[in-house]
Amino acid sequence: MVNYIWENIFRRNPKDAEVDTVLAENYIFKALSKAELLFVKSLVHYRIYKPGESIFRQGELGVGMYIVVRGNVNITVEDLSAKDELMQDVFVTRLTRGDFFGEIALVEQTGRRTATATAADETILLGFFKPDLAEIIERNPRTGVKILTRLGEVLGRRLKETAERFTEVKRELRELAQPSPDDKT
Amino acid sequence: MTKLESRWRRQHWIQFTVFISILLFATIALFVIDNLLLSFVVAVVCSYIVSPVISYLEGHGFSRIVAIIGVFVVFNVLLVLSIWALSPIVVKQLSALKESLPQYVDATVKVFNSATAMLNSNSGGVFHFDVSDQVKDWLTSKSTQIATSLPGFLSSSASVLVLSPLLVFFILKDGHSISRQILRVVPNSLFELTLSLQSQISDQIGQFIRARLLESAIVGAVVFIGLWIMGIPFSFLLAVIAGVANLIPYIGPIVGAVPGCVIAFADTGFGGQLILVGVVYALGQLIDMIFIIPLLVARIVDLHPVSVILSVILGAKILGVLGMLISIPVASSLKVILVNVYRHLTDDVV
Repeated sequence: MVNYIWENIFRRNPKDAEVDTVLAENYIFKALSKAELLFVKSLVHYRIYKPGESIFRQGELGVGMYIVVRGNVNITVEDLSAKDELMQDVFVTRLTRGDFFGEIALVEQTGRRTATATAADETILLGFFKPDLAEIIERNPRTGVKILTRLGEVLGRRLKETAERFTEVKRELRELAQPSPDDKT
Repeated sequence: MTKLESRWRRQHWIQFTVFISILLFATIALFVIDNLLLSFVVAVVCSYIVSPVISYLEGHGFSRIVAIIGVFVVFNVLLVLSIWALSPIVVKQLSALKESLPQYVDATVKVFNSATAMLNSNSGGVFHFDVSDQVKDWLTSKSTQIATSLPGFLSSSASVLVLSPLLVFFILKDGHSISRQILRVVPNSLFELTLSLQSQISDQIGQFIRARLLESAIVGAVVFIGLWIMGIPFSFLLAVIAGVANLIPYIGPIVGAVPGCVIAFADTGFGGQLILVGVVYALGQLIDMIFIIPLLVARIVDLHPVSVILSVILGAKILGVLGMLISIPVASSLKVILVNVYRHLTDDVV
């Protein structure tokens, strides 16, 4: 009996351990100390989604970001030019454990979701939203600065990737528009 | 329906039923237990006042519990000290007021008599009013009622004074985790909207309470200084009445000024002192209207004047004076909910 108590008294809840690991490994929270991570953990929201359940839809007002703890999330965008309704959702990517999405909503005033996120299977997410970020900044500015710096880095990297992709697409379009030497002959 | 889905539904139903039961139980308790509603409102107001201080201390490296205990101790020491310092003045002024009440009743009847006499002579004999007896009876019964209900009021204030600090402590300590527990029962599809609403409402109520209390304190201070310089009796009591009444929009400032004007009239009749007392109250309102309302209150609560009046009337009808005091934050919360839900449903970017 005594052994049972001692074995269990310091045993961590598996759910807690999973959340701790995911938060500590996440790029945005990587610079935080253990105490700061504990503070962030007390603010994030643990949400469970069933397979096929929508997390958010493209065009909806977004309040914050999600981190995948367990399961998979499909990201799709609506192709409004598609005539067939079934073909309207274009698959973009599948996110797995540790991935995060929707972070732009953390810094936008009235940000609309630019894609639709759907749970591919039974999925557990951690939600981190604007009010939570505001609370961190108010109650612990040092932690807030660390998170904001990382968030800025992520957003900057996304912008850079988009700019590179944009240049690539532009070059491809230019190449397509130019007649090839074979066409001339 | 798959096994997983039925498990989900069952879990949600259990969570929802437990939540609704707790909510119902809490609401019934608030209305049934004496002074619990008042203590709760006072506690919410106090927690909104001190929460920025606690956040500030947390931002400077103190743990939340240390910050709460520190603020709680300082707050209670200040409360005890102010009760200790002010209670002799209040008791003295209240007993003096009790003795002088008949004199003020007579003065008020005199005002009514002169007003009705003026009306009767100006109407050329068409109207003939004589309300002095009714006014005198009404005022005498009301003043006796105040005098007899005063001990009861003071004892209920004591229970509020004991209960509220306890509630403040638990709201500050566990408020966040309670709100997170409540958010857990919100379905995923409504979660972001609910979280956003909760945060906006909480911010707005906090700012509103702090602004209104500052407004009342400034009006009360102006009235106290003015009346004290003029040597009007019961200046402290009159300032407290003016400050508290000022929390009620539109009607409050008028109601708050009546006792001071009656006392000035009873002492010197229609004359310079009455005008000066009126000027003091007007000065308090002027400072409020020129500086505090545009700078603080109007920016926080953007309600149409008609909505304000209707909310106050509705609040008075449901909960009396307490309803009048809490009507504006409740109305502005409802406005935030309606605007956001409308925006969410119509995809309207405002």
